[in-house]
Amino acid sequence: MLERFKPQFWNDRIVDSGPFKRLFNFRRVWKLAVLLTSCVAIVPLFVLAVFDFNVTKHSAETQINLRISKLVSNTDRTLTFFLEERRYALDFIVNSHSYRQLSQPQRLAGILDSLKQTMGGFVDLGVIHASGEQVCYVGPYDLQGKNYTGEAWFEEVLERGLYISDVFLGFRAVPHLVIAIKHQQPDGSFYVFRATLDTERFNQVLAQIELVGQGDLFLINHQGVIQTPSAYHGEVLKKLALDVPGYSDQAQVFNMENDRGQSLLIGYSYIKGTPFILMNIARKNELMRPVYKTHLLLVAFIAVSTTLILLVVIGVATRLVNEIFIADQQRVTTLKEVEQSSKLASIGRLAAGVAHEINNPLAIIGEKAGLMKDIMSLEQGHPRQDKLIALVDSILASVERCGAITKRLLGFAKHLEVKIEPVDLAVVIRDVLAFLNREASYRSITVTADLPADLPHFESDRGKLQQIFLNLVNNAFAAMSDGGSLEIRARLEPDKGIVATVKDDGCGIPETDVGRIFEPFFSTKKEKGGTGLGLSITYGLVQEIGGTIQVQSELGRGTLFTVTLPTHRESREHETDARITGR
Amino acid sequence: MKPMHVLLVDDEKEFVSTLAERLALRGVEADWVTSAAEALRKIEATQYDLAVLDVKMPHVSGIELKRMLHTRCPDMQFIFMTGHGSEQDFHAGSSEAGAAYYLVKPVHIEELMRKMSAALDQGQQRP
Amino acid sequence: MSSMPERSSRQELRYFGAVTASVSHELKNVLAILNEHAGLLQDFTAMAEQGQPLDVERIRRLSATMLAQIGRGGAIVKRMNRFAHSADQERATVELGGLAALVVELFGRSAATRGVTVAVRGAQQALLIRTRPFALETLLGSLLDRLTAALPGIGTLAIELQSGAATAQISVPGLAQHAEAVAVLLASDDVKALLSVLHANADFSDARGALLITLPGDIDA
Repeated sequence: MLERFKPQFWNDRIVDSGPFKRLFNFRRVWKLAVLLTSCVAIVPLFVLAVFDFNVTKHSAETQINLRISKLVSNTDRTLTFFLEERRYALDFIVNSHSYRQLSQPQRLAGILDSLKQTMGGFVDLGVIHASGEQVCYVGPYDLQGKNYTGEAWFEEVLERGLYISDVFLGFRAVPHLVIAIKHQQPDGSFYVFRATLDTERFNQVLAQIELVGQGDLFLINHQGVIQTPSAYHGEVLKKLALDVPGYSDQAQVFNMENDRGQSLLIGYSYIKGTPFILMNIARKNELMRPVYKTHLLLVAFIAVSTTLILLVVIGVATRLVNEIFIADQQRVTTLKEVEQSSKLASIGRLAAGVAHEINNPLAIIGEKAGLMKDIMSLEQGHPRQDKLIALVDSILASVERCGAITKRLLGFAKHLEVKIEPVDLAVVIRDVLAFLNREASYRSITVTADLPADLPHFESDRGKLQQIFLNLVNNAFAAMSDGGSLEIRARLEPDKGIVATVKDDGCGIPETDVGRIFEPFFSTKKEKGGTGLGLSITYGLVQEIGGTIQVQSELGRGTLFTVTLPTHRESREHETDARITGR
Repeated sequence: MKPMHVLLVDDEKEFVSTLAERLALRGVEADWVTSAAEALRKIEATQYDLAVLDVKMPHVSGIELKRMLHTRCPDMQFIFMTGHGSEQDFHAGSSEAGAAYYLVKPVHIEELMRKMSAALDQGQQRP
Repeated sequence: MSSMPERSSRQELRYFGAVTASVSHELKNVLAILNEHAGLLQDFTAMAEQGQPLDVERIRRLSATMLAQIGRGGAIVKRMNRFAHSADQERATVELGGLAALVVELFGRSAATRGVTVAVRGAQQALLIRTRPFALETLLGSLLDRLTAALPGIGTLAIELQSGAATAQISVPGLAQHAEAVAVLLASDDVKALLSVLHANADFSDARGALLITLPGDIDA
């Protein structure tokens, strides 16, 4: 299934030498391209996302904390105000009534009624003499005459002038609290005025506060006992499961984990002048929910973006690399085409040369036969026998000469197909030289061939060997001026194989060009178009038969090509590759 | 047949000698040499009406030889012989050689004779 | 797997080899005849040495035959030369009639062996196309070879040349009964490779009973 998606260049075999070497390792290029581009596109995205995550989270947390803090402070104020109101009510009462008046039960009862009707929540009122005795009491309890001397609250109110109790279970088992004030009389004496309030209004105040995120707003006392109804953290007058937070004169917000491992945000405030601590407990997760939702969106977005980016990057990279691959293939194909046609052209020239050679002996035969005919026509009766014999002999010799040439032509034709066979290098080289004999003689070029008879035969491709030496000798001829000399030697060197050299005394190759002489399209021939492929083809051919070729040259003095041929053929990677590329 | 003295130049000895012999049988006085050097020596001693030159020869080509001979003997006429395949070389090099006659080897002797006549006729027409 | 151009090149080389070999054989035949004649002459002169009178007329005739063979040899060499030089340029403008005629001439020996005559019938004016001359020669030569080998009783084959709008058409008529053989031929990978590098199409026309090859007027267009 994946096969369908594999691009063309994926299975490309690496040909990394010779004139047909690939310009790139396509798989590697593709991988690099995809990796780099993806990284450059995705990494910043991720970095930004992470950064944003942190920033928004931090910001949200800060905001939430602030909100809770504000809520707690505001609630603190509200509660404080609520309690102060009641306290001022009491203040008003003691300032607007005399001790004697307040000590009258009827009067006190009347005041209690008024309070119930106006402010509401008052359950009882009590006047307590400085000695501690409750001299007047109106309310549901039987507290008339009770003495509070020594009680903590009484001590406190005497000292501080105000006492607010924490919540306790009072009349009818309903939570109440007590506010008591000390009233200093003008004559220096004092008494304590005390009221019990039910917590209904008190609780209502809290209940009316709009809470966010499952927050639980309630009061505890300094010992951690729950004072007002809590939604999740326990019943009134039960101890809170959490530790009592430390004193602070401002609203505080902090984080902690409950015993179920949930993260809680706790906002609290010590309500001044009261035994209460206002607690707002909320689950962090609930509060952070909108942020988490945003985060999720962000994650989804990144996932989609990353996928898209990867798809696009891979798609584009594949397309581009494929295009390059196709273009490179085109280049290789074109090179091969040019090489083939140049090969064909050179073979054509060879064949033409050979055919051309036949002209002369044919012409000779023509003249001889013609002369014979003439003699027969003109010298009737007594033709000179010796003359005839000589003519016929000459004809036969020329026919043989033609025969040799024709045989060579036939042999040449047979070698156009690739074949591995035992080869005698000396014969191959001599054949090549025979092809170029005429030109050598026309141009007075001296050709020396040092080809020892004991040169071992070896397995190789005769046609390719012929082509190699033909190319080298042709090159030498092209470089030499008339009258030059060409030396061909072949030698067996035990470690290397057969070493053949082609040496000319022609114009040579400049030092700067020597290293490039085997490159395709590199040509130092200034005149009529050489394709510049000759030596690169030669190089490729030498490689294909498992050999090596080197060049030494001196400008103006000549050039030496050294071809080393293995006497043992081992199957090699690049030969297999060469067959695959179809050479 | 006008009497003519011709010089044959071709590096192939068997060919040129026999051709000379055949021309002789037809009343043409023909001398033959196998190189440009010999040709140049020959013309010093003898006056020729026409030279038949092989185009492709070692050292000095037929066309070069023609130029050299023409310099020495402005009145000499020329006919070229080429083998198949040399036709291109001939046409390439001959444009400045003037209106030239050429034959392709193997040569038909009658055709050669006709061209030689024509060449000589033309030569005589020139002022 | 080799590509079309590679296959085509191999085919071209093979064709070159085949033609060269054929030419060599033809020349050998010519030389053989010359050899025989010369041998016979040698015999005559030997006999004359023994006192036998020379049969002048006979010798004259022998010489005449030999001259004829020389002429034939010359023509063969000329053809070979033209053929060899057609590989000089990969692409060139050629006269289609001349090219087809050369291929047919080169095929002559094989044709004779198989008892087939091949004729070229062309347009009146010169039909010039820009193509790959050697590949085209290989295609025509290969087609002639395969057709005559597959259809032994065919007797004669004609190659007709026509020019079209920016194209040239080569048709081989008279194959109405051999549609299958032509189909096999056109299906061969070698033929397909050659057609591909020539940018040509080949078809069998049932209506005309002919093999049709359409070449672009300019291969580079």
